[in-house]
Parts: sequence; structure tokens; C-alpha cells
Amino acid sequence: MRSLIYADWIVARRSFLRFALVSLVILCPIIAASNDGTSGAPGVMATCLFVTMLTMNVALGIFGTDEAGDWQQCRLTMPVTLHQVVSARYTFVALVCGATMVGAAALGWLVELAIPLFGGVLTVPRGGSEIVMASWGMGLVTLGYLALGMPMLYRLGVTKARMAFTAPFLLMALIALEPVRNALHGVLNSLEGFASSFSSPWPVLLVGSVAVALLYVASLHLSERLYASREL
Amino acid sequence: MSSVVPYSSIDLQGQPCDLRCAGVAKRYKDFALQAVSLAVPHGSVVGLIGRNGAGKTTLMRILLGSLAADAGRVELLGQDVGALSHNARATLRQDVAFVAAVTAYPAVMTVTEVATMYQLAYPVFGMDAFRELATRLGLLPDSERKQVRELSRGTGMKLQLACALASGARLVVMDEPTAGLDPIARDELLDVLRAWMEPGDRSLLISSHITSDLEKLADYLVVLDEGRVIAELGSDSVERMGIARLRTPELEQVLADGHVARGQARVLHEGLSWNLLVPDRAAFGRSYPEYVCDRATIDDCLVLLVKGEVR
Repeated sequence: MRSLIYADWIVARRSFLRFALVSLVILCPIIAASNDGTSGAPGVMATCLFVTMLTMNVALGIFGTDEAGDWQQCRLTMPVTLHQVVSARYTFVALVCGATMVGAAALGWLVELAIPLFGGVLTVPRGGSEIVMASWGMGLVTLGYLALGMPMLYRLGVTKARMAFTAPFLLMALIALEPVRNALHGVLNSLEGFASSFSSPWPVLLVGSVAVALLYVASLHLSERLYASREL
Repeated sequence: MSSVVPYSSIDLQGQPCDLRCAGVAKRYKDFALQAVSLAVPHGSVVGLIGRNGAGKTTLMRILLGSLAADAGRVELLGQDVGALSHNARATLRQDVAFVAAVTAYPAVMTVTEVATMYQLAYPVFGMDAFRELATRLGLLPDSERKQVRELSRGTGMKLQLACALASGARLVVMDEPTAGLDPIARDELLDVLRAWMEPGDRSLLISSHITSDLEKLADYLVVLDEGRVIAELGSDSVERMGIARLRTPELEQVLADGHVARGQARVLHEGLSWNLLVPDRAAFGRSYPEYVCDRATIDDCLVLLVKGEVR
């Protein structure tokens, strides 16, 4: 299992710069658009997007490597079980998500510090704890999303499942656009109302963490079954 | 007249085998592996030959457990793989290494990183042995930092070979390891394999289109065609085989004499004569001194066994 985590680490490390650049290219205009003096949360926005984009990119990248050059067949001839193949990947993706949450929180904090230096306006400067909460929350959402999508990747392979896997994510990203936000005004307000009904977000994050952890473990077992039934 | 000798000449009953399969079957839409049985005796090299699409790679994948068979039994290093738990199978595979037809490691890994991955997977992997083999094969030191995607086919194959042989495996399964290599690289690779086999307690199953390589290396040959084993030959029996060049009446006479049993003889029409695969060239020469009978190469055997008409 260590050998497979090591292989994933090497693939992710080599591709990290590309993934980070892609994420930043997408991130910059969105942060710029959010820094219009109305939303006042570019740091939070940067944190949330960076967690999601980087984790998703790394996950899709390592799944893509499996199918390139018969690696997924080759690794099954090594002294590993199917369970180890799947759980090594789940472990690695969870570690990447955790590391990205930390990195993204630092990035968000830097964005908050940097924007006034460049003459930008922060209508509501966010504190460190708010950025940590955003990072944590978005990490949970991303991990939950991956928990739902990874069984599909194991069953169909990344080539076939890529569109189905990324489409809901892209649709969610449309919420960043003003017209979409306006169209979903009612739904977003209800969500905001629900969120503000809690005096503190920490219990929500803790309960959410447990729920996502359970979902992730269930997803692992499902992926294992689906992968076993797949003819490579 | 000499007795009838079948082309298949291996009897491995009771012999200790590192790999044995019986009745292995796998059905696809357009291809089926049909009740394949073969064995790799302990300390020997078995060559698997057959034309493209004969089922060699599918069979190898089933033997290694990376593909499930529809039917049949596989015994690896004396253990029935089907009866083992997943963990026990993984443990068993610590003694088995695979060399694929294409270098299948993640493309961005460097040579050293691939070796480290093997070290983490195989408990007795010898990094020193890897370095020694890789240096002997000309992979190190030049290609140490090269990524897999930057390696030529030959260099990639050398990397796979060095990893497999340094893994501590007792059985190595190789799928077309010499395909696409120049003669010098092929010779180097065969030398390394011979040296690895020297202690006598290791076994090798190797498939190849380049039958001259197998002539130099294999103790036994298994001919696979359209998903079936059509012949199993010992290297000594290949040495004995011949190709008799006969005209039609001569062929009829030889068949009528029963030198090669009717219903088993393989013949191929070539120009004005027939080529007959003869199990024992010397015996044939004694019986028919006036007929031409050349030594049969593995290629001759393969062509006649696969394309030949049964008479």
C-alpha cells in the first residue's frame, strides 16, 4: 500500500505546479470580480476555490495516470490487494485535501493582507478564524463530492466518467456568476437563513466532518466492489 | 519403421512446478481462451509462442491474477490461487514479478523513483542488486533522473527487467520483453536472464515473437493459437524436429508408412512440394535417406503447427 501512495505522491508532486497554475488562472479573475467593494470576501473566496480546484485537479490527475500506459493493470501484478489499491488512493486523496485546506487558508489570509496593499477595498475584512472555517467547510464539501464521484471513476474509468464527474462541479461553480446568483436568489437566501440559525459554525463543521468521514468510508467500500467487478 | 512420435512431448506429471494452470478459460465477444493448461517446472524457462491475438497476454494476466478467469485453476508456487484470501494472494505475489510488453509505470516517475516504489512493494527488493543490474544493462548512471516517458522502449524494458529481477521473485513472467529491441540490447537482456537463472531455483515464463531468443533460452515451449494450446515441446524435441521437403507421392508414402501418424501430421504446401513437420529428423533420415529433411527452427514449428494442414 505504501508503494501505491508513494506512486500517487510522485505523480501529484510532478503535476502540482501545473495544477496550481491552472487553479490560480481560474482563481485570479474570480477574486478580482469579488473585490468590487460589495462582496468584500476575496480571501474567503480564494480559500474556497483553491481547496476545491487543487484537490479536484490532483484527484482527476492521479486517476488519469491509472489509465495511461496500463499502469492500473501493471500495479495489480504487484504484491497488493484490490482493497489496498483502492484504500491507498482514498488515503492519498484525503491527505491532499487536508494539505490543500491548510495551504488554501494561508493563501486566503495572504489575499486578505495583499488586497489593501494594491489599493483594493475590503468592505468586510475577514479574520483568520473565518478563513479557517471557510477552508474547513469547503474541504468537507470537496471531500464529500469526491466521495460521491470516486465510485463512478472506479467503475467506468476516468476517460468515460470525466464529464459526468466534473459537470455537477462546474454547475456549482456557476454560482460565482452574478446572473446565476440572482436566479437562485431564493434558494441561496434560504441556505443563508439556515446557516445563520446556528449561533456558531463550529458544531456544524464538526458534525459535517463526521458525516463526510462516514460517507468517505462508505464510498471506499463501494469503490472496492465496483472496481472488483470491472474488467480492466 | 520407427514408432509414432507426437509433436507434443512434455510430460510434467509429478514434477515440482512454480506455475501450473489447468482448464483456464476466458470468453470475450470476439475471442476465447479455451481450457488452457500449462506448467512452468521449478528452475526452468518456458517460452510461450503464438501469433498476435493468440491469447498470450490474456493468459499471462490471468496467471498473475490481474484478470479473472471464467473457469480453471491456477497454482502459483505450489498454492492454489483460487483458494487463497486476497491478502494471501498479495503475499504470494511477493515471490512473483511481471515484465509487461510496454513500460506501464506512471510516466512522470524517474528511474530511481520506480525502484523506490518496488522497494516499498517487495520486502526483499535489493536496491544494490537493482543498481548492479541497471548498470550492467546500461540504464545507470545516465538515465537515473530520466522520467519513464523519456525512456525509449528498450530502456523502459531494461528498467522493468532490473526491477523484476531485483525484487527477490522466484518466478518472473515476461510478456514480449525483446520485441522492438535491437540485436545488441536483446543479447544483453538474454545474458542477464541467463545469469539470473544460474542458481537453478528460479523460473521464467516468457512470451516472445522472436523465436530465436527462445531457442537460446527456453527449456520448454508452449504454442498457443486462437486461445488453445496446440503443442508443448521440450527444447530437446525441437532440436530433434525436422522439415521434410516432399512431393505429393512421397508425402503419401511417408504417411502410409505411419512415420508420422495420420491425423497428427502437419503439412504445408509450398511451391511444388510439401513441407512435413517431422518429430525426429535423424530417424526420418535413416528411414528415408533419399528425401531432404532440414533442421526445424521454432519458427518452422510454429508456422506448421498453426498454419499447417492436418493430414
